[in-house]
Amino acid sequence: MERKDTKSRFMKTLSDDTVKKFSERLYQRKVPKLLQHGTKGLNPLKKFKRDEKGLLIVTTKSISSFFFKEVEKDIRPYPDQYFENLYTLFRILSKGAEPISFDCGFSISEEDIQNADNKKTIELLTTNLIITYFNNLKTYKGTVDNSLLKPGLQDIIAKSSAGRDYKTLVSKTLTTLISSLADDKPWREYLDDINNADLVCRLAGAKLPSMEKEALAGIITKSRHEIKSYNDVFSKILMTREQMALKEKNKKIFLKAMEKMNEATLTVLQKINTYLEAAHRFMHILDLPPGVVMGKTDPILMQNLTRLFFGVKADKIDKLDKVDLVATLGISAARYRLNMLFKYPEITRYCCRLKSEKTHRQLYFDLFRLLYKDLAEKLSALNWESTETELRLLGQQLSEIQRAVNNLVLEPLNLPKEKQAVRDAYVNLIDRVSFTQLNIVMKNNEQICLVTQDTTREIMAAIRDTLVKSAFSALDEYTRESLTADRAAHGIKKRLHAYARHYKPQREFYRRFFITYIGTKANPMTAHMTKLVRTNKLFAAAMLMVLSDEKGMKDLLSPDQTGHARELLIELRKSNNK
Amino acid sequence: MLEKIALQKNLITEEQCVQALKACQGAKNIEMALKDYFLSQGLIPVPQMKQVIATFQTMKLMRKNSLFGTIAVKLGFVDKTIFQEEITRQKQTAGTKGVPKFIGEIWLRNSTLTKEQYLKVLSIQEKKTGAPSKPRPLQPSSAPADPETQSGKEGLPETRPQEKEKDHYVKKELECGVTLKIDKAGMNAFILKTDKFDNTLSATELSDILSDEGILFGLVKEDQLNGFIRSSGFKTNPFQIATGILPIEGKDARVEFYFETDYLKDSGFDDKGNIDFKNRGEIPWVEEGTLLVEKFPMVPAQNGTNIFNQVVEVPLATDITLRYKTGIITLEDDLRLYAEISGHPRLTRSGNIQVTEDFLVKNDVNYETGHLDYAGNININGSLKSGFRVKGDVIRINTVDGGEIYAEGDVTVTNGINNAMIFAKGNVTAKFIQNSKIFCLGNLNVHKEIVDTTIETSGAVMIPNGEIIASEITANMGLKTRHLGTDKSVPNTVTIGVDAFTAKEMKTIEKVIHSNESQIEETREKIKALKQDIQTLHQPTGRLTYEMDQTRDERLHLEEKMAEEKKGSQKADILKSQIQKNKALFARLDTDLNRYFDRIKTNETRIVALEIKQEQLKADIYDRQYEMTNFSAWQEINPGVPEITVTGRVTAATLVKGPHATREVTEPLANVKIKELMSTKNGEEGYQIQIHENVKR
Repeated sequence: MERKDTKSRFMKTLSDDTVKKFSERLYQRKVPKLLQHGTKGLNPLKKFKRDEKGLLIVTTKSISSFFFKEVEKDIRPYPDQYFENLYTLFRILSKGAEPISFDCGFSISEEDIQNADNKKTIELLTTNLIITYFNNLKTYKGTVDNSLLKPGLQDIIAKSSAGRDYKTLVSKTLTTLISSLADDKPWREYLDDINNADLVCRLAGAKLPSMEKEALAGIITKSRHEIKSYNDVFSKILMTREQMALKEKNKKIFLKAMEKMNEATLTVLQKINTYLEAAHRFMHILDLPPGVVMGKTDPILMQNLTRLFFGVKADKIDKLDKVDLVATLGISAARYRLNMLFKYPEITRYCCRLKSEKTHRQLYFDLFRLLYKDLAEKLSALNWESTETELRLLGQQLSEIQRAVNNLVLEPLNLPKEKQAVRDAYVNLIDRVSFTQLNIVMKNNEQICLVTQDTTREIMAAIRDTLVKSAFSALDEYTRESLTADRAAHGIKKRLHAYARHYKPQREFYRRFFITYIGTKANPMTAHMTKLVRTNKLFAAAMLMVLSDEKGMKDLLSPDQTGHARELLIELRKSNNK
Repeated sequence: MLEKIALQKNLITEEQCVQALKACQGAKNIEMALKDYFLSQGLIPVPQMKQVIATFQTMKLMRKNSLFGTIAVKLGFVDKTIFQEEITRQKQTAGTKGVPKFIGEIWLRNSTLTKEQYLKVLSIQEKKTGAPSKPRPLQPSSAPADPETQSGKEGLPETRPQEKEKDHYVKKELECGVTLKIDKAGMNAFILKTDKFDNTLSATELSDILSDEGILFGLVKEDQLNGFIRSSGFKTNPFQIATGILPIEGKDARVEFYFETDYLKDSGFDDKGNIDFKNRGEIPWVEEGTLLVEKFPMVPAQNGTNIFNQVVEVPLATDITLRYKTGIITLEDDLRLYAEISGHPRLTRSGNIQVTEDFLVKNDVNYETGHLDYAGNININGSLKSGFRVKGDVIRINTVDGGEIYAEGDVTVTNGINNAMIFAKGNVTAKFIQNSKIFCLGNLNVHKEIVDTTIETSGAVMIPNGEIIASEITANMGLKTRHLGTDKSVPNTVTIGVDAFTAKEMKTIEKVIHSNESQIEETREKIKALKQDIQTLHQPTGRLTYEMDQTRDERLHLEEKMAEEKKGSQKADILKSQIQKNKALFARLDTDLNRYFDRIKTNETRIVALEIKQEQLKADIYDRQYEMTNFSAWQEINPGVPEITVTGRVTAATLVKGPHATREVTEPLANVKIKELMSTKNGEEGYQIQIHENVKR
C-alpha cells in the first residue's frame, strides 16, 4: 500500500491542467459563438464543422495525436503511468463533452497491429482504446455515457479487445522479449524491453507472464554490481570527510578540502540517482523488493545516505536510537541537507523507506520533529510588531516543509502532537497580529492544512473562533483612541470587515459576533457590551450604529439583530439625555 | 523618553519639548500621545518620526535586555562573559540592523537557557519592572459562542461561569488495613495493603467497606477481590478496584465552503482606508464537478459514569443539514456537494447552496453590485449605471444608462443605450442608442433610432423602421434603415464594406502578442539573474554547515567530558562556560545559515512565480495567435457588402464611404440603394458610389 502511494507521487506526467487546456481548445471554448455559428448575413468559419444536429465535430485523431505528443515527453513511462495518463485524458475530456459530436473513424485491425514494431503497436492499440471510449461516450443531446471510465481502464480495454484475437500479437511480443533478454547488454536496456512488452500485453487485455529465473538472475547480478561500485566510492568519500573533520585542525585547509570532497560527493550521488531510477523501475515492474535488486549493498547504501543527509557520524550509525537529531542537528543544517537531497528525486524516493525501517524510523521522525518544532517557534515569535517581510517569509517556510512532507511521504497520522503545536501556534498568531496584517497571515491557511496534513481541515474551525474573538479584541483596543462618533463608526466597520472577510460565510461571523458580544433577546446586553456602555458610551453608540444599519448589515445580520441593535442604541441615547 | 530623543536629534527645540510634555500630561500612554502630538503639530515629519521611534524601541529593548541579562547572571544561569559578549554584539548591530532582539529569546533558542530558567528570569524581571507579559491590553473574557450550539441556547446567559470540575481525589487508610486512592476525576480507585491488612477479610466485607466509601460503580468481580485478599503482593503496586466509564466528548458537525460565499461583501480597502465598492473582483464561477461544500459530521457525545455511580455529563453535539437546490449533485453519504453544471455558485439567504448557469442581477448595476466580471452569461433586470462595467459572455440587460459592456457573445438591451460603450463579439440589439460607442463583430439591430453614436461592426447595421441621426457608422455588411439623417441635425457619415472592427481587433492582438513576447524576454532575464544570485548564495552554505557540524561534535565531546567531572568543581565550571560559548556559536552559525536559505528560498519563490507568469504569457500568445487566424479567416469568408438601403429619406450632405470611393449626397433622396460598384468612366475602370432607386419596398 505504502509503495503504491510513493509510486504515484513520482510517476504522473500528464497533468489535469494540460488536458484542461487541450480540452478548451478542442471544444473551442474560447472561440466566439459567432465565428462558429455565423449569424444573419455572416458566414461561420469552415473549420468548425458541425453535424446534422448542429453539434461541433471533434475527431478522435486529434485526441490521439495530443496524447502521443504528451506521453512522448516522458522517455520511458511505466505501464501504470501510461494508463493513469489515459485515464486523466478520458476523465477530463468527458467533462463538457455534452454538446460535442465525436468523429471516431474506424478501429485498426489486428493484422495491422501485429505487423508493427513494439512502439507502433502501443500507439495503435491506444488509438483503438481512444476510439472505443469516445464511440461509447458519443453524445446525443442530453446524455453523456462515461460508464466505461474507471481507473485502470479495464472496461475500456475489455470492450476494445472484444471479438478480437490478440494471441498472435501477445506471443510475438513475448518471443521478441525472450530473445532480447538473451542478448548481453547493459542491464538497464532490458528494462525498456520488459516495459514495452508489459504495456503491449496490458493494452491487448493480456498479462505479462512472470520472467524466467535465469534471465532475472542475470539482470540482478549486473544491477548489484553497478550499485556496489558506486556505493564503495561513496563510503570512501564519507570516511575521508569524517577523518578530515577529526584530524584537520587548520580551518582553511579543512574547508578547502571539504569543498573538493563535496564535488566528489555530488558526482557519486548523481550516479546513484541514475542507478536508482532504473532500479525503482525494475522493482516496480517485477514487484521486487530493494534487497533483491541491490543485494547486500542496500543496507550499506541506506547507512551512507543516513550519514550524509542526517549528519550521523559513523560511530553512531549502529546506535541510531541514541542520536538526538532534534537537539543536535540544527534547523539550518537540516535545511542544507534536505535541499541537497531533494536535488536527487530517486535518492529521495529511496530515503522514503527510512520510516518503515525499524532502525531508521526514529531518525526519520526526528527530522520532521525538528522541522515542525522550528516552525512552531517561528510562528510564536511573530506578532503585531513583526514586519510585513517577516510575515511573508512564513509562506516560504511553509512551502519548504511541505516539500519535505511530500517528498519524504510523511503519513497524515504521524507526529500528531507536533502538528497540533504548529496549528495552535498559527491560530495564536492570528490572534496576535493586528487587523491590518491579517491578510498576509491568512493567506497561509491552505498551506497550514497541507503542512500539518489536516485532512479534515479542523484548524478552520479554530481559526473561525479566533477571528470572532480577535475582532472584539481589536475593537476593544480601538476604544482607547480618542475618536469622533463618525470616525469610530468607520473604524469599527473597517475592523469588523477585516476579520469577517476571512470567515465563510460572513453572515455567520456577524451573527456569532452579535450573539457573543452584543446581546440576544433573552440576554439583551452581554457583559462585554454592558462594560463598553459603562466605560465608553460614544464608542458603544458607534458600534450599535454600525450594527443597526439595515442597509449595511443586509445579508449579514438578521432583521431581528439589526432591530435589537437599534433598540439598544435608542436606550443608550435616552440614558445619555437623562 | 521619546521627547528626549527628538531633542537629541535636534528635531525639536527645548521650548517645543516643554510644550509637548504639557499638552500630553495625564495621557495614559505618554509616548503614544507625544508621537501623535509631534505629528499633528507638524513638528516632526513622518520619516524622522519613524527614526525616533526606532531609536526609542532600541533603547527600550536594550534596557530590558540589560536587566534580563543581569538577573540571569546573578542566578548563575548564564556566564557573565557570554552576557557581555551578547550586549556588545547587540550594540554593534543596533545601528545597522534595526531593533535588536530580546536577549531572553535568543538564549532560549540557542539553549543557553532552559525554558524553566527563562521563565524564572522573566518573572523576576516583570516583578521589578511591573511590565505585563502580553502586549494586548484586554482580551474578551469568554470564548465566542459557537453559532450552531448557541442558536438553541439563546436563553442562557452569555458569560455563564464554567462549571468547576469536582475534585474527587482521595488517599486514605481504611480500617481494614488498605490504603484507598481515588483519582481526581473519580474514574479510578486503587487499593494497597498496609501492614495492618486484615487477612480474614472476605470479598463481600471488602466490597461493603468500599460501598461505605461511596464506590458503587465499576467494582471488580468477587473472584478478583478474593484474589487481592489472598495475594501476598499489592503492598507497593496498587490494585485497581473500580473503574468508571469516561464520557465521550461530542463534536459539532461542521461545514467548510470551498467557494467564495460573499464576493459582494469582499471588497478591500484602498490606501486611505476606504472600502472600494466598485472593484469586487471576478464573480465566482465553477466548473462542473467542482467540490463546493463539505460537511464533517457530528461526533455524538456520550455521558460517562464515575465510580460513585454519578453521571458525568458532557454537552450534546449538534448536527447540521446541508441544504441545496438546483445545479448541485451529492454523493451517497450526503456529505459533499458538487457543482452539477458549470456556473455561478451561491449560498442563498435561506442557507441553500445552488449553482446557476447565468448570473442574475435583480436590480441595477451600481455601488451595491460593483463592476460585474463573470465567465458566463449575465442577466440584468435593471440598468447599468454610469461609471460601472459589465464583462461576461452573453449579456441581457434592461437599460444601459452609461457604463461599459464587454461581451464575448451577444448583447441584448431591452430598452435603450445612453452614453455608453459596448464591445461585443456577437450581435448587439437595442431599442435605441444615443450618444454611445458600439463595437461589434456581428450585426447591430436597433428598433427606433441611433443618435450621436459611433458604430463599428463587422456585420450589418439594421434599423429598418427607425432613423439614424448625427452618427458615424462603419458597417462591413452594409446598412439598412428607414431614414438616414434629419434636416435639423449634423449629417451622418456611413462607411460600408469595410471591416474596421476586425482590423482593429487584429491590430490589438498583434500589439498584445508583441508585448507578451517582450515580457517573456524580461522574465527570462530576471530568472537568469535570480538563478545566478542563488548560485552565489549557495557558496557559503556548505562551509557554514561544516562549521556547524564541527561545533556540534565539539560540544558533544565537551559534554561527555563534563559528565565525568564533579559538579561544581573548577574544571566543571570551565567546561560549562565552554559549552555555553559553543552553544552560542552554534546558534549564531545556525542563524547565519538560515539567513542564506531564507534568501535562497525567496529567490526560488520568485523564480516559480516568474515561471508561472512566463507560461501564462506563452499560453496567452498561443490563444491570441489562434484568435488572429480565426479573424483572418473570418475576413476572408465574409467580404464586405458596400450597400446602404434606405426606405425613407436620405438628407443632403450625408457622406458615404466605400472601401475605395467616397461620395457626398448633394440633394435629399428618398427610397434609394447606395452601393459602391466598379464602373468605367472615360475608358478607365474605377469604383464609384452609385445611387439607385430602391425597387423593393
